Parts: sequence; C-alpha cells; structure tokens
Amino acid sequence: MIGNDLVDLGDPELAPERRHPRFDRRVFSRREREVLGASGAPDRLRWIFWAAKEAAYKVARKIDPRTVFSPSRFEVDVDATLKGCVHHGGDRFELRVDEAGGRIHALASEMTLHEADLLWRVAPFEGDAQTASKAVRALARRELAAALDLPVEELEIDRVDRIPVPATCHGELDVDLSLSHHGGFIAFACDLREGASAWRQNHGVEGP
Amino acid sequence: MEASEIQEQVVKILTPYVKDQQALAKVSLETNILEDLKVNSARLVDVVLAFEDAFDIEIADDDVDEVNTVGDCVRLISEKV
Repeated sequence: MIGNDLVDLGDPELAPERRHPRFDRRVFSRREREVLGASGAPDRLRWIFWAAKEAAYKVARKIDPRTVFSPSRFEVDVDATLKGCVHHGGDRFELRVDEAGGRIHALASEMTLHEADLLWRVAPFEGDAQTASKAVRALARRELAAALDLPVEELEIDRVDRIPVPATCHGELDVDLSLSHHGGFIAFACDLREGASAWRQNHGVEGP
Repeated sequence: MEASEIQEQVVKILTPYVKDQQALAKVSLETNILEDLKVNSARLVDVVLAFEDAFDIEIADDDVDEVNTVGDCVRLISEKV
C-alpha cells in the first residue's frame, strides 16, 4: 500500500503567524518537538513531518479503515537524505520525502519502497481549490494509462470510502493509488508492484 | 448555549480558513468542511484549537476523526459545552 502527501511551502496559510500557538503541541510528539527546536530550519522540517504523517495515515487507513488521524501518534524519523520511517502504534511505514521547487512530497508504505515499483509525479497547478481534485485525477489517469499501455479514456478513478481506486470497464484495477493536492501543486503516487502485474497478466498487456 | 448560536460561532471560526467562498455562502449543517469548504487538512488543526479556545472545551483527536460536516462540529461542541 502507498500513501502520499504534498505541501506547497509557498502557501501563505503556512506562515508562522497564521499557526495556532498550540499547533506544535497538538501535532508533534515530544521527540519531534525537540528535533524541531534544535533544527536550523524548523518551518521546513515542520511541513516535512506533517506530509510524512499524512502519507503514513493514508496507508494505515487502507490497512485498517478504523485508523484515526491523530497526528502526534504518527511519529516521524527522517534523516538528512529525507529517507526514514513513520511509527504508528506497533506499525512502521517506510518514508521517502522529495523536496524541490518550493514543495514537499512524501511517500509512505508499509513495505520497502523500490523505485522500479513506483509511479509518482508532482506537477504545478494553476487552478483553484475547487478544480484541484479533478486535475490530480486527470494527471494520475494520464500517467497510469501510459504506464500500463491503456487508452486513457478507458481508465477511471473511482472513490471508495475516500480511497481512490483506478478502474476500467473490466472492473477495478488492482493498483494502489494515492492522490494529493495543495496550493500550486498536484501529485499522485502509485504502487505498481503486485496489482498491476496481475492485471497485465490477466489482460495480456505487456508491462512498461 | 443554543445550537444555532454554536453554529453561528462555528461558521465564524471556519470562515478565514475556507477556500471555496461559494460553498461558504450557502453553508448548512450538511456542508462538508474539507470537501465543500476546501479547508486544508493542516489548517483543520488550527480550527479545532480555535473551537477549544472559543468554547473552553477540549476536543480529542478521536472526536475530530468523527467530524466531517458543520453539523458534526455543532453536535460535538454541544455535547461538550
């Protein structure tokens, strides 16, 4: 399973003066607050932690729909290369963070993340909040259809219990997908591991 | 405190965080905070903290998880004030 999250660091809403004074205490564990306090760039790290928590939550909720998003219970451990993990209860989620062009994109999975199995993109977005959801679905459809050698018009992204599910006229595509948008960016991440292979085999489609 | 007073205060607190002003103009108890009003999930933390301050209550993350709509906020706060 995969989860992603995106933070546009240029969003004026993220300015420190817009943040409630108890935000950090509410969102971060004691250890995370200590790391933030010792950081030379706490605002950047704050949103790396946030994106990591959201990405891990998306995976946790796919595994157990009863999972509650209690941010401080998703504890992030990330190194200088922006790789690490998120701990939640007894679960561990592998984490990879990509930071470029004023945005942070976090990927989390309960399994080891291998580049060859992943399909993900972050794209700039100029529309408003009302159209972002449609735009990120269009991006995911286009890229996923190309990766699976499918006509894009045959690929839809349904929503089941707030989880995006790729499907064709043949039924649900067993490919794990996560979508995110924030401010001037949209992003999707897809785990092509088992589901896509099975789908390709079932439909006689060669892999990318 | 009457539910209508709570609703009025809830909408007032939400307003600075709303990104869809059209949805805000026709806000109702059924309005979804994230999906209709397009409040960013990180800002939802600030909203919850502002509810705590305004109504002098504590709201646990487990409670927040049950909140999707303006009506959910009103019900939750009504139970705690």
